Amino acid sequence: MRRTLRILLAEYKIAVLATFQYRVQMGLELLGLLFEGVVYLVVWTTIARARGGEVSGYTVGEFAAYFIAWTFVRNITTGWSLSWMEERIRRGEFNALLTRPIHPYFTDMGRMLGHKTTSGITLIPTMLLMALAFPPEVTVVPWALVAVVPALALAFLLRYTALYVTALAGFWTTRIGPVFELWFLTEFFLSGRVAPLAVLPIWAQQLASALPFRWMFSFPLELLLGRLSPLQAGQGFLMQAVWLAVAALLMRAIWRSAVRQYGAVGG
Amino acid sequence: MELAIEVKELSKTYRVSERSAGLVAALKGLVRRQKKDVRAVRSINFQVEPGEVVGFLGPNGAGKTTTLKMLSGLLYPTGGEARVLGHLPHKRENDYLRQITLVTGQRNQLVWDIPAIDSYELFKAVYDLEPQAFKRTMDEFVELLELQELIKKPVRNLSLGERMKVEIAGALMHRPRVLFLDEPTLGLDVTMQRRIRRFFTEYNQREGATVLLTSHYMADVVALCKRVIVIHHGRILFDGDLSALVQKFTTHKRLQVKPEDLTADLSSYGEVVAKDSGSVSLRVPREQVPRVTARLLAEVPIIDLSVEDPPIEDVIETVFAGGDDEADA
Repeated sequence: MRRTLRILLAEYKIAVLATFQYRVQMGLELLGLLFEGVVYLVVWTTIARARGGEVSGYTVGEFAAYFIAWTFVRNITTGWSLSWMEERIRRGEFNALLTRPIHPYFTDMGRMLGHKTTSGITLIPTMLLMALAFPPEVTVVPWALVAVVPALALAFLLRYTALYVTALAGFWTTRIGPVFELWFLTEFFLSGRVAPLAVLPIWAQQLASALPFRWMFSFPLELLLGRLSPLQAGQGFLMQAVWLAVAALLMRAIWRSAVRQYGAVGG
Repeated sequence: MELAIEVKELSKTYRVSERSAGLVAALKGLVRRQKKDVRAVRSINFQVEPGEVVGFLGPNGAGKTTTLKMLSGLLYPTGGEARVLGHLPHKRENDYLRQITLVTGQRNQLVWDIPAIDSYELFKAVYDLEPQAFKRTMDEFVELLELQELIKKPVRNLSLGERMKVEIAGALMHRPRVLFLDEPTLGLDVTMQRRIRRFFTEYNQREGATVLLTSHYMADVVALCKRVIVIHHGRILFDGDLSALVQKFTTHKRLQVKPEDLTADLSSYGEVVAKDSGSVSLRVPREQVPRVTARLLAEVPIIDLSVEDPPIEDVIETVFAGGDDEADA
């Protein structure tokens, strides 16, 4: 375990160093992330104003708070895209990783965390600018601010692991673009990405709670904004733990047979 | 002593999709996909002693790289078994991966955007290297491969040859006991090829490492390997000393003759294969060489005469041609 952590830290450092080489790319990625959040924010605050200042319990200021916090949570929970994994499998780029005495899952995690740190540096001032343009209404709940730290960590781990497991399909099918589309569309609506889950119909909210997507994104966001009771928070942690265990077990079960399918093309 | 590499009836079959050209064939492929089994490696057997350097030769598509990838744990064998240092490679145990390295001509272990020295630090963590041992190895490799300035530049700014040198140093930083070298000098100029060969030779002598090398450059094989395994169409055609390969597959020798009179017709002594301003090259059946040499010396005024084996490339070509005949049969 200590060895794995050491490698994770070394990969993390490498990612920080590599990302610093491309400041423009870093800025553009962040801009893309911000742009998405700002678009939703403008749309939902406009709808709220048109409906007398509120939609499904969210005021204009609460929408602002939601999408400003959204930017932060999204940066933390972003994982590798499935299309990137597909390229690696298709072009044999896994070769280098598979000949190392460490599971690529950890190697990639270290790189991912390093990437997040560098984008996080510019994220905070940008969020402050967003707050100036769209004044948020925030209810500070001290215990929730503490609880959100493990919730974010679990949300990251859950999304990262679930994406990794899904990407393993690429070892059999090579092309996993359609899988990515399906994932993206489901997550888009059921994770709280396009709108707070409270604005969805009841059946969609129930579906979101039964699937893992809410626990990867919306749950820490709702916690951060002080919208959950301690009981709901406890249930959320339980759901995160259950889905993470499911993803980890699937990873363990599928990995070995997935690698057996590997064609290792190229060098 | 335990064998370094032991391969028994090892096979690998790829199942690949195939279709004819054109849109109609593509549409047909949507409904019913044609699959074909490609037998890349067919029940091969060989053993390698610890410290041995073995050349693995064969034309493109012969099964060399597939074998190396099975031995390094990247590919799962379809049949048979391979053991390296007592491990089953396909299990990819950490203890096994720590003791081997796979170097390919297209190798890309180093992070592209940062100096190699940062990637080396990463390898230190990955292979759990003691700081002092790591520093000693790095200093040694930096000196041997003259990497002083190169390891401080981002990898993307290095030339192909420079990149290969820093890649090789990185691949050996954990001092592996078994080296799988797949075309390690591919695309490099002659000077760089020589330097890299010298480095592998020194590494093999210092560490007693086992080396399995594939290369299309016969100079690599001649410089590094005493023993060669020739593979073609997934089957082993020859396994033995390089000199024995030449003996077995050369039916002719070359006589380099420097006659006093260059206009002299030497075609009655053998097939004239080359003639330049100073000498004539004759191709003579191996068993006739003593007689022809004696005749030449007695009958033609000669300045110089030497008897040579044909170039190793020609020998290998003969072996492959034999393999083709076998496959066709």
